[in-house]
Amino acid sequence: MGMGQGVIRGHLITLRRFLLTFWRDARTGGAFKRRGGGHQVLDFFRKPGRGNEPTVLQDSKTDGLFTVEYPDERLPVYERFRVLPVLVYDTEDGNVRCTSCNICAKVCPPQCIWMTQAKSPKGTVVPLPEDFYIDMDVCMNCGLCSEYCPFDAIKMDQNFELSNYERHQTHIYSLQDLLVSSEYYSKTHPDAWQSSEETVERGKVAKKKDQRLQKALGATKPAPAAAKPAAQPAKV
Amino acid sequence: MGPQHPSTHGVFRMNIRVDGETIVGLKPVMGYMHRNHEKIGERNTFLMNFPFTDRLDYLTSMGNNFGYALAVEQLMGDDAKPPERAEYIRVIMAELTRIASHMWSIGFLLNDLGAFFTPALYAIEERELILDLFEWAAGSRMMCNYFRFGGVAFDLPKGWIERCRGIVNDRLDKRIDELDRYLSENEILLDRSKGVGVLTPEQAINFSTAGPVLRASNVAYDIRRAAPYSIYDRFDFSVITGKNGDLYDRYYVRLLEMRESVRILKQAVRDIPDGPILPGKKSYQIKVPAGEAYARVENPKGELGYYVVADGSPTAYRYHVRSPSFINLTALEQMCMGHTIADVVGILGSLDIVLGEVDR
Ligand code: SF4
Ligand code: SF4
Repeated sequence: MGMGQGVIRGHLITLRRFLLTFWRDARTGGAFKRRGGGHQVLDFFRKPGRGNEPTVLQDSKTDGLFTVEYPDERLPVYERFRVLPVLVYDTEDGNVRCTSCNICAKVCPPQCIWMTQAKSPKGTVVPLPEDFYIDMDVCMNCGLCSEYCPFDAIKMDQNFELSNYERHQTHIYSLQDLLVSSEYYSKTHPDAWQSSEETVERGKVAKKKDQRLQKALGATKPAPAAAKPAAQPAKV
Repeated sequence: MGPQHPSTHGVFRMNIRVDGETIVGLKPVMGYMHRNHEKIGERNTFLMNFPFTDRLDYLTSMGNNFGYALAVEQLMGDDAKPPERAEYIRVIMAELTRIASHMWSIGFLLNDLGAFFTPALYAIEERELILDLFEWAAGSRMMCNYFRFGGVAFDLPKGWIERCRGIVNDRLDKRIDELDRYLSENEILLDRSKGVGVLTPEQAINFSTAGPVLRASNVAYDIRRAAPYSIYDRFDFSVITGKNGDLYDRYYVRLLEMRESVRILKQAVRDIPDGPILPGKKSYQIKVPAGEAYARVENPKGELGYYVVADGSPTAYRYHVRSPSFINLTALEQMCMGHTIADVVGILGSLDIVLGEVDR
């Protein structure tokens, strides 16, 4: 090969990519538009509403350069995508699913979960968490807690926009911060929610929960933690 | 000197003795990430250690999982024999990882050589598609935590294998070709890399280097062939070697290796059967009988080995990682001697180190 031809060929490839990008944008009607903006020229300066950002899926056919103009555009969020754990309570009756069995704390690699089990006024153990803490700065988002929870109580949330002004108190999540409704979970994880395994599991858990309630009613007063979370759920 | 490579921030620098611009001595100085991976591995139960292995070489977490799973499975024997489908998924994930990692390493080698930043961006595009696949199946782009003893954590979601087929069959080859055309005959790259950082076959073996660094020095040693693990003996692929053991060969070996990975992937996505992905029920209580095991995989950067001693308790008695980045670095001085300061940067880039693996 003669002098410089390799460099020139390299430049031609770059040029081709550059043009391909514009060709793609022209093809999809996005050439003169701010990505994620409206259709008019003036819309160039308008941002899409929060939560209405278009999703960009890149697959084997994408050509040109890959640019996703977050936050005006987003990548798809896959169902299994995991960030931080949450605790699920059932929307219908407000019961926390967690029985405070401590398995998630045992299986958590950096040991960032700790909890206290609820006690009835008589002093007997009630299978509910009195309080439940996760240090989110330590959590490594591995998902093992949710994988091995036998009561389907702890799940991985997909919210990744977690910036914050303060990281000492706010990053230690307590029971109140962790609770989400089963409705919320069924929306973020539709496939898992409908899967046969989780449906069967839910049936089983409902039975267990019944027994648990009977037990709690058997005590003089209902356990404190059972009523508390339902009153003011953290996220719906 | 340093930090130079993007991944050497704070944990690695080179103590260089120079005569003018010429290197006459070099000592790698390993800093600390203060993570203590091996000691933590002795505190963790066997299962809990999986997410920690992700963080060794954080560009190849699937491969790291693979090696660790093999080591413990070796101890557990028939209790943890992966079903057919799981084996295929494992190979697919490991080979996708290899492509993603080599893409990254080629891109950043060029970055180290001063081609800021186009080659890296091109290389990252394919990696992006692969990470999308990982995120879809495992839940995370880089810290996959996807393997379990005897299989994998979740089955592939619906539609996954189709998209993977699309990428593997129709796309990757073309993109590797493009990268090849774009870079391999570029005169500047040739000038900067031919005859630089040469490691003879004897030296490469004596420094016990592994992976592309070893194979670029014309030693056809690939663990997938030399000591086949999982189901690698079923696939048709060749072991790539270079001739001169210089910087260019290390680059080119990686490029050709990606083609071989695509070859394996094409066979794997064609043949993947249906079936279970774990031999038994999922359990967090894993019984590992006493004994010791060493298992190794051909990770993108070289031989990644796990040495595990179990005493029958829920945690490992001793846990040691033989990590390729760390061991390849020992050959750095040899490669740099007699070259100039500017070459050192490229030579370090050609080793493709990730510092998570250097300081454990
Ligand atoms: S979240 Fe699950 S594993 Fe953790 S204590 Fe509650 S029921 Fe047990
Ligand atoms: S995701 Fe992993 S690190 Fe985080 S709380 Fe759950 S088990 Fe612990």
